[in-house]
Amino acid sequence: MPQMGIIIGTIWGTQKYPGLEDAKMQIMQPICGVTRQHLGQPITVVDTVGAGPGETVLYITAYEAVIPYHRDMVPIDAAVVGIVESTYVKDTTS
Amino acid sequence: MILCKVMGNVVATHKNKELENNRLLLVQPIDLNRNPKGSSLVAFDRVDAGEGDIVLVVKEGGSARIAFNNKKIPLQSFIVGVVDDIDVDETILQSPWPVVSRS
Repeated sequence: MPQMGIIIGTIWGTQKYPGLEDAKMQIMQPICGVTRQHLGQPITVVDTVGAGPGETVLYITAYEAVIPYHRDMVPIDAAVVGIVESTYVKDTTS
Repeated sequence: MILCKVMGNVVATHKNKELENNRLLLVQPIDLNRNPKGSSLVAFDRVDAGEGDIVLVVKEGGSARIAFNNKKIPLQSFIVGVVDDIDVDETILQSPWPVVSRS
């Protein structure tokens, strides 16, 4: 939306939909930005900012996920759009 | 649009160039009684919302492209207003239909 996730791995494949040959695909675990709780199962995202495993990232889904990619008409439904350096969350217990 | 509470912010300098120079806030969707509901979102701030504020968040990419006047912005959620007060009469839901006739 963008949302937050943690990159946990990479997917390699040469046989892909035309136009996606050079798409760098990574495995990402969606998390809640406030509690860092894992949300659902890991998903595959196309990385356009050079995030590596272990990094917390911002990702986007749906139609907007194709925008950062350098080709238009390609089937991408989740893409990394930023790398998170830090988050500040007010002490929710107070 | 959904009601959210601003919980904090996110620092991410290394990102898609269309997303630069915008404040990234962490917001938590809330229900009408201001209790958390669902998982938090990262949203762009367009109205200088502060921490702890109740805000209105748009969650749709098309609206983002219109609001930012940019077809190439990979964004869906952004803040469009700070809520000062919420006035809800929940008893309306309990009353039998029709409640108010506009004839």
